[in-house]
Amino acid sequence: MAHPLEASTHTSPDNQQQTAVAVSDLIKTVVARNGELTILSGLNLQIKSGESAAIVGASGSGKSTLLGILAGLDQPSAGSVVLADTRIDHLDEDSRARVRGEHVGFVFQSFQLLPNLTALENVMLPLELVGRKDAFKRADDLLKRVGLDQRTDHYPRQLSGGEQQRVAIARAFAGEPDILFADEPTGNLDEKTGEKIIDLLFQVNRENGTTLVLVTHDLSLASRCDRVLHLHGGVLKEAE
Amino acid sequence: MSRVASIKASSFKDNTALSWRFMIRDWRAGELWLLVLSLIMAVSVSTAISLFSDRLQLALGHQVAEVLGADMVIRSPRPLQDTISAGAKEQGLELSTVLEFPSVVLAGDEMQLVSAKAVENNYPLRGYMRGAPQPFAEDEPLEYTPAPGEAWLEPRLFPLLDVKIGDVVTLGETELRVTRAITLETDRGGDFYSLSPRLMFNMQDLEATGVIQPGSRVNWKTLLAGNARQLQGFQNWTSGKLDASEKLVMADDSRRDLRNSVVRLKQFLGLASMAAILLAGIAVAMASRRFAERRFDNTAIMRCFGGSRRQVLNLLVGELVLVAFLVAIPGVALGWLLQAGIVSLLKGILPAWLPQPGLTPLLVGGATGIITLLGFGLAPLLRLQNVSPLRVLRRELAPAPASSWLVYALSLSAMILLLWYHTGQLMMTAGLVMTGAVILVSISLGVQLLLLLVDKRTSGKPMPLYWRLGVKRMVQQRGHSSAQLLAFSLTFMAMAIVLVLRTDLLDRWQKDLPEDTPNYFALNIQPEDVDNYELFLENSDIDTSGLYPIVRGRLVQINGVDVRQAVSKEQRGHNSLNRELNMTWSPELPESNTLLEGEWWQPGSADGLSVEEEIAEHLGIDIGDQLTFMVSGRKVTETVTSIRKVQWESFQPNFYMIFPKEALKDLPASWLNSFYLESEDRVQLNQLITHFPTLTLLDLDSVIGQVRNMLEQSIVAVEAMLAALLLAGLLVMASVIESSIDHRLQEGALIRSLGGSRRQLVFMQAGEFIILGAVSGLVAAAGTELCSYWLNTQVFELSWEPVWWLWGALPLLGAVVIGFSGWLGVQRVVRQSPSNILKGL
Repeated sequence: MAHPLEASTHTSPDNQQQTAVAVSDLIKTVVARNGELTILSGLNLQIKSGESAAIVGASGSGKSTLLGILAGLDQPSAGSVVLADTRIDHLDEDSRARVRGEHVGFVFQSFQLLPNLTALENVMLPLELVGRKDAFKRADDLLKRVGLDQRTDHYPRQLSGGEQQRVAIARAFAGEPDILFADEPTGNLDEKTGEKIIDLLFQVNRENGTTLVLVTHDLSLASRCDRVLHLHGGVLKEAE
Repeated sequence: MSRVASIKASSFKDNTALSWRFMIRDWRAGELWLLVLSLIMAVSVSTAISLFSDRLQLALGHQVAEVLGADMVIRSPRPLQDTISAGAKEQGLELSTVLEFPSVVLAGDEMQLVSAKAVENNYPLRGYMRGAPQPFAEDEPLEYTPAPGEAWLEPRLFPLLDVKIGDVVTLGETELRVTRAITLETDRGGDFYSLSPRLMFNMQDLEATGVIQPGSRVNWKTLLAGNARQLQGFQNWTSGKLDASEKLVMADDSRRDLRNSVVRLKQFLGLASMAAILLAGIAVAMASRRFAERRFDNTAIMRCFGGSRRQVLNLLVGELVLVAFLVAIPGVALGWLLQAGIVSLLKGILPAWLPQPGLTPLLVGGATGIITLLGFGLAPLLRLQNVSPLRVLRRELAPAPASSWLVYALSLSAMILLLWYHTGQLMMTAGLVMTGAVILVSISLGVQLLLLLVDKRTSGKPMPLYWRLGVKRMVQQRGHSSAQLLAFSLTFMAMAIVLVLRTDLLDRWQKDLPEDTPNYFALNIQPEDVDNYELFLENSDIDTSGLYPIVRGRLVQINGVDVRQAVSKEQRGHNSLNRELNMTWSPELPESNTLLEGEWWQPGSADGLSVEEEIAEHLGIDIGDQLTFMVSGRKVTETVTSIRKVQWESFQPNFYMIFPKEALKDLPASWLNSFYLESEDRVQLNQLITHFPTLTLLDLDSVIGQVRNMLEQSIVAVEAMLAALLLAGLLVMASVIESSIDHRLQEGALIRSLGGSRRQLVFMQAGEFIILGAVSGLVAAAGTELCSYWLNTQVFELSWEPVWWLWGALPLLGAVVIGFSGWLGVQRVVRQSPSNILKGL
């Protein structure tokens, strides 16, 4: 079924070695009280399709800012960003939203489930936004895959943190994204639950052949990725 | 259909379907109840008010029509032209012809001047007659007219003619059998002073009496009744077709005593509906603001997953529009029930027959929901357009507030649109709303400035924790605080204005018609009988307003110029020039009169003339003008020294022209007296009439009862409005408190997790509401004074006095009511376990 918003601006990569995310000379500055503050200074990065990459760094190093720009949630001050073969740094918000809707999935530290929707409805939401008729069936399947088939009618407040994050993972994969961005996915969970969630995340990721970009300060979690990138002083360095 | 169009149509359909699903989910999750409640209130209050005032106005119109005996009357000295009556029938109007003429009736040796009235079988078309089987017995409504060969007499005619029921009287050349005493025809009214006792008979006997000859002085009245459209159509049709002697009178402008009350009531109902709709609007605005704020996260997530700004906005606006449409149906139904409830509660007080309302009030009621939602609720929703998807990573990113001109423009237009319908006056409404808006914006800015000042003064100074937190929050959220304050102030103000005006109106009506309003007028008291008459009243213990001499005269010259030349063509039509005026002399200004210009004469002065305001204005008479009257063949000339306002609805003897005693005392005069008599003392009237056979007695008891009855209905209507307003006000408060609850839940949880006790929390939250309530009360008191001054002096033409108790009562009431509702609202904050709330952060 065609996307109800508009036709896609690119074709999906068939080749596994194609680039999923690429940035070059990326600069991000913000206006602060005592002048301009540079968060990212001339950053270059390429992540191939199907690859998993972890961005690690101390608090305030700009990890989340970078993630926001890579995922098209924010715009860089300078430099180019290519996401799923589309250059997004010069696109307006609505065009970026379209790219996100077609190619990107998200998992957040604070789960970001809508409190007034049930688990099932939360997973259905991205599908409904693009007018998918099989939203219900697919969401139901996904919740089964993350082991929540008994919880579909529960509201987020009736779920534990781990369960909420599973719903978020099911939701992230609902739209069959090419690239999944995860922002501290275990940050709000205890160690044991966090591990289970990460297992689930990697498992679903493998099954779908999705590119995974993960922001974390947990080095053991980072080490499970194909690549680990350190963000420090606004520059990325690849770990050996 | 082209492909593009079909895509558009299908995406519209998809969007609507999605909006629908969103709405169902939000409803299930309890997100919509406040908005739905506010909308239902806006719709039902508006519907109920429209319906009720529509029906009441129709009913009041009918009552005025009753006083006229018809919706429209054409008076003429000859029977109405056939073409005109044919035209009226063509328009679908009902017709009834009435003839009134003075005549003499004989019974044995007795003979009496009467005011004879011939009526057709369908008389009266509006209103009713009352009569009794015996004179001076308890009367009852009559549904029929005198049959051919019958005569009905006014009770006082029985002793004057010395007849009883069943006797025969002679009118002209025919004999009629007396079958009933007639006490009231609702359309009698008219000029009290020249009224002889009534004799009513059937129109079929008219020819047999032979009294109507060419040149006879008679009054033909053609009564007409129908719906507003037919009447208007007929009135337009007659323009240019009636000849100069045929005068058309509409029910609306017939009776001065009723008219003022009706006009005031209409204005009051309009005002009360304005207040109620304003309150409903505030409630909707507050509820939709909360709805929007709670959707920041939803919007960010949807944007994250690829929804465009437009799509997300369409979805949410679509959801709200669906809500508005769905609410319209139960809202209108509830409004109808509310109105029906009021009507059935007031059975016995309201007119027995309330006309059915038209469809328009229902449609307007339904549309009110959509208009208030669009006007007051759209602006906060438009903010959602600017929610950044980055909010999913950084929660503190809230969209910029909706641009204020948009908020104001939308809500102002909505207000104007709604009020325009309710008041029917575009310019006045627009002016009022705009002025109100400017004042409100200034108050809002003033409050924000004040908060900043308070902050500056108190920062760094020792203050109890609760106060400090309360003040800090109000200062930090200046916009929100001032919006809350305005909402509360407006609520209090709307209620206070209606309450104050209600009191003023009731006072005024009470003053117009006190318990001992004279219900009998005695006319034609001869000068030689004056002393005996006064003695009789004193011995019978009857309260009286004193005796007034009446001198009848015709105005013939103004400043020495013949009156026909002195005035313009339009002025010439004034009644006062076509008949003799009742003039009196008086050493002092009568009680129900107010001096507008000039001065009252000194006792003993022979010069001076005081003229009633309306006639002076109509004929262009000013102080210093010389008026010449023809009294019994003598010319009397006096210079105008004062202009008076007369309270016509007072049922006291009132006069157009008052002279000093010296100016009129040698002219022929009869005397006039009005007095109050309780109904059980009515037998004394018999004695009065036999003692003073020349005296004409006029019974106003039924007319006063009629007016009083109508005022009572009006009071009930006014009180029903007040109740509706109170309901609206409470909902606004619930809305405002609810709209701030999310914030308070978070803050309360934090404070408790930091070790704050429940007590501290309650003190802190309630303290803020108490301050807010007290300040709102103060603002409301100032606003009420201002508005009631304007309304009293400019709209209702009542006198104005500052209402001092408001300044104490409103702040106190505000502190108590808002403090208490705040306390109720924050119970949830106190009861919730902090971890639950913090988990949701």
